[in-house]
Amino acid sequence: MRPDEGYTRAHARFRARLQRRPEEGGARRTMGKRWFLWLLLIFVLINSPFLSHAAIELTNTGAEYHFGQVKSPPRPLEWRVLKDTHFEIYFYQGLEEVALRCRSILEEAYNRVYPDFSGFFTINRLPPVRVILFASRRDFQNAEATGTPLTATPEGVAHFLVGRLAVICQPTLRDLRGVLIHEVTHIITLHPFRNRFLGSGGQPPDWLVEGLAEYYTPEESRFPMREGALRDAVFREKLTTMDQLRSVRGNLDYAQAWALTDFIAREYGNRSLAELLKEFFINGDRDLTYQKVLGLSRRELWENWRADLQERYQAGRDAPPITSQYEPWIAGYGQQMRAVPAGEGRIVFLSSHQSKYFDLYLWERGKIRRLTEETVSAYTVSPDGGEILFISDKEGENLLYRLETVTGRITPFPLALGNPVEVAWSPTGERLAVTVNTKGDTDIYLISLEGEVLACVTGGEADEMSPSWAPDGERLVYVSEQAGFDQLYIWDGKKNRLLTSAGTHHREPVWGEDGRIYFTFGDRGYYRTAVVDPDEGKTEVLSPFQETLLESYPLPGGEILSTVYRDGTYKIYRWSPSGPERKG
Amino acid sequence: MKNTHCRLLPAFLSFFLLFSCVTPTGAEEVPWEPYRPRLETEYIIPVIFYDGTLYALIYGRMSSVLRDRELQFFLWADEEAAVFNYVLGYTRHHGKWSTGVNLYSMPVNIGPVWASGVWENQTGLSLLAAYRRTNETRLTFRLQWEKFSPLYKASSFPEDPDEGTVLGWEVKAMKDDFSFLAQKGTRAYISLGGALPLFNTGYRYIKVEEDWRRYYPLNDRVSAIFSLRGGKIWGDDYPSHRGFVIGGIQQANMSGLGNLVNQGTLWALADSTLRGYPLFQFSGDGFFLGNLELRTLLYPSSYYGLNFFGLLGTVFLDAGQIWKDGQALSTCPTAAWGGGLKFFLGGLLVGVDYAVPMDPAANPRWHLSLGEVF
Repeated sequence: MRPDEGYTRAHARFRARLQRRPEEGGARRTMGKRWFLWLLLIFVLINSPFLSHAAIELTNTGAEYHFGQVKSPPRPLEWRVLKDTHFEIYFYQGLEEVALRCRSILEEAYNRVYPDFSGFFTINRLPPVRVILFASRRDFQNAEATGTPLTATPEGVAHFLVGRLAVICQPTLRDLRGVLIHEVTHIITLHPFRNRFLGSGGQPPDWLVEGLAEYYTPEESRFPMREGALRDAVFREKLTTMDQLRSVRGNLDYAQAWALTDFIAREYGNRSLAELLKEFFINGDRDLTYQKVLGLSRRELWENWRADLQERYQAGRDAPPITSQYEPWIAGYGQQMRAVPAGEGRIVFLSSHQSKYFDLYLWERGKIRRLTEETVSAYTVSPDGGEILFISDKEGENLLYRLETVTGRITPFPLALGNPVEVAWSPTGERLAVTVNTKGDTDIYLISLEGEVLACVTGGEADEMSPSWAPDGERLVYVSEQAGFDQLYIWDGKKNRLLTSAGTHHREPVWGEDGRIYFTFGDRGYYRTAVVDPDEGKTEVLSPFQETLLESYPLPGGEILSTVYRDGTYKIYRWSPSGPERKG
Repeated sequence: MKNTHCRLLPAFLSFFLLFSCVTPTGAEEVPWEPYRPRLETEYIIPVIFYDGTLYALIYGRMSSVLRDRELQFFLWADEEAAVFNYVLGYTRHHGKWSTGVNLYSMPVNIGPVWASGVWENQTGLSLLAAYRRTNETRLTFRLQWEKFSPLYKASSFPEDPDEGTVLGWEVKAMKDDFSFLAQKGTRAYISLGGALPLFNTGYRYIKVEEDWRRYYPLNDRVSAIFSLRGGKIWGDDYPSHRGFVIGGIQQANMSGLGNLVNQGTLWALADSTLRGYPLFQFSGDGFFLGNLELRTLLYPSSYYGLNFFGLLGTVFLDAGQIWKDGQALSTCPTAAWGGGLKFFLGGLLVGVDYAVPMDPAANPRWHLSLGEVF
């Protein structure tokens, strides 16, 4: 082809049109539309699942582009569907009992949420909601059904345009209930307005969308540290504005969204929530909407809510902050959690220092070594500190792995039960207490070091979790719910008995070498370290600090390692109930 | 007769027992059923104007519940310009395999985002398959029939665009375990492809291409990136405007191997980067390119601390050579060094580089880039 033939007939037509004057129907008249079309094309491409997607190919095989990571299911999944009046539950092998459990949770969610929004469905009924269950985060992330990027880390997603949601089966029944009800609320509240998302009118702010989902989630199923983050922000005067809450991202935003929705429901009734949502779709997030439904301006609502929060969170306000006496035990290293001694002065802990997820790290005489390069959700250290058993979902399902601390060698642990959630190594070294979730709720089993089941400690319909061994290796303390609060129970080798009964939560017990049980005590976002006598059940709060302290582990000599939440970060502190050592 | 009945009785009983098993009365009843995929509409976005002439743009997506079947389509009609463009893609996922078919007719820009090289109209059909071994590694296959005709050619573009039809194929092995936050990993592929003169198509050639990029974190802020890239086309019958072109930055799309429509968008990695030289400076049927870049995060103090804004500084050395019909196209050393800044804006990298060619006759140049160059 000659160079001067580089213009085709189509191009010549376009050039000719450019040469015409606008009043003659020239290009200027249509250029605005043309650019709009191009912008829409770019928008479509930007929103395609892979940013490097070929412009001209709309398949999603992974062959369209040179680089980029792709979803690769770690194992074959045999999908089934369980159909009901309001829901269709999609699940695969190993989740049969969980799917049946989900059916009742979903009906509970429907009955909890639907009546308040039934007015949205007078003309069009809500079609059956499709619920897709995944056994692990890895299965979830590698599934096309989620519609999320490979690296996204939500517990579930709701595709309200098509009435479909995908959730990860949570470690506990409580968490699963929370995630399911949260996501179902999204579908019930947003699906009726699916056509408005692309049309005229307004959009609801995220604080109401997520706030409704959190509000309808039962209190005991709400992630506890969301309220912890809210309390911390109230103390620090770091509440975000209504404008900022149009976009909800982290824990604090979710907590604020819940608190604001809860405030409106308390002050104006549940009916106002549906009205507010509907008005947002008509008029948008403007003063007019608030005036019409609540009778006050947006600013006034924010100020009233803020005053309510100041009143709500009083506990611990006057206590000294831990930072006035102690420094974080390790500087840097991102989010840090669950520090446990590993003998000879070594400490193992979880950190998100070099990953979006938590890995195991070993602290030894001031030096820190990364032990794993995969997500670790729980772990236990052998009595001599030479080995660590940890749980990871790197193969798709949750599995136990054995790690040699010195060499770093990792081998699979042949556990006879599926879906381990927690593990605790007996102080005598010859058996394990493993929390597993095979039927929707967690139970505790005794397991040999060969992976065989020795005994079932608990097998009830509620969650039983967080086992910790007594120093003699014969008894266990664990957590289970009783009348709406988490309580400590003791298993003495034969029988289980309730140890605590106060009207607050008792979590994360650790049986100390001094014979006392250390645990996390509190509710409403304020958790402290406490200790209880295993025989008499007498409880004493140890931490005098303003901050929430989690996962406390007593060290020989009286000091305690705790995870402290402060200003959006979790750091490990080493503190003493008798106060800091004074030097000089 | 009686004996006959006696002999037939066991046969009747067997027959009855055999067919009574068809009804699984004894089997365990389960309340679920196997999943069967079926396409449903997810959404359709129609944008339609009519002011005497019709402009319509429609984007739609259909999928099965588990999205193991997906259909996306895009239609663009402009009555005044007598344009009717469409792209339709159907994907099927089955375990680690994904297969897809695309049908398209669309004007496409072959060149970087901000500088048209060649606009051509492409109509074709592509069959794709990928074995997704892991998240980081995959083996892909492509068979594609395409008819193309030029719409526009930039004056700086060195080759005259062809009008023709090609039946291309490609097999490619790919690895990408790069982590931007850790500034660590490898991006690499090796590809064998070409075209066959079947079904009345006019091109016949074989192409081999490789790309290898390695990222070394030196500390929390500083990383070194090393890149080697090369390719060779055997056979004279290839569309000359789809050969190898180097020069400038983010010379995307130019050297799509058997990958005929290697249409990177704004975020695609550059196919070649030879800073210090103008776009489309060199074109040929064989090339080699190497890059070394030292990258420092100036703000914030760690990649894990990146939120909306970040600033990076770079120093680099680029070098390459290109051959056509066995002849090197440049006798001077085609190499350049320089430095630059990269702005991280809400996930999008915007880069400004200043490159000084080693060739004393050439002048230093500024280069703008969008997205990751490496």
